[in-house]
Amino acid sequence: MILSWIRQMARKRQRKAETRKVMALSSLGLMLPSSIAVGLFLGYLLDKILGTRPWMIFTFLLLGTASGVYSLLRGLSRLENEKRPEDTET
Amino acid sequence: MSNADPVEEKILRRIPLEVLGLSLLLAVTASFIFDLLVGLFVLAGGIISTLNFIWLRQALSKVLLQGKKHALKASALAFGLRLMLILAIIFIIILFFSKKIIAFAAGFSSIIVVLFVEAVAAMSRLKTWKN
Repeated sequence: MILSWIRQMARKRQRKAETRKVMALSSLGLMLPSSIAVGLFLGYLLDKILGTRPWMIFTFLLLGTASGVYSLLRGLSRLENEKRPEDTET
Repeated sequence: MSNADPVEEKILRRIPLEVLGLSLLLAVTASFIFDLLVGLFVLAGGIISTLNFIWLRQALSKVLLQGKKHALKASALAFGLRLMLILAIIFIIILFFSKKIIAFAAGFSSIIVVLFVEAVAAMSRLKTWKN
């Protein structure tokens, strides 16, 4: 009975780890499109207010892409750092 | 991700299809409410965000699974070139159809909704396992 309980707990822990990994990967996938979309929306809005079409949209698109790539790289390095202790344990 | 767990693989394979489905739904709705061109731009945004996700997944799987320096460089270069292609498409849309860029951005953002829903589903699954 104890053995089955331990197995069940191990399975639960594995599933939790899998779900966390999926969530981390999903957040990595979210960073770039959301930054680009925010840059596009902000640029469009500023262009409309200031009447500078299409310069603000170009600038903010580039800024959004740069920030997206930066946060993607940061997230990736964090993921790598989390992976390393696991590798040394096994 | 060939070495990925079955649950993870299933979710990561499902996301692009869900993004395409949602953007198609949005495109049909937009073409009824506005015009056909708006619907086409929404669909184009959805297709490009799906491609972006697939390319990012490929690059990340190479980096995370192989973890070698040359793999990192090669996948970063490939993803960078693909990102440039996406940016070039967006620039062309801004230059020639600057009033329709919001429709493209709406389609491009459909991945945010899909990933949010998947994250909520994963969290609810986590809570069920905790209980």
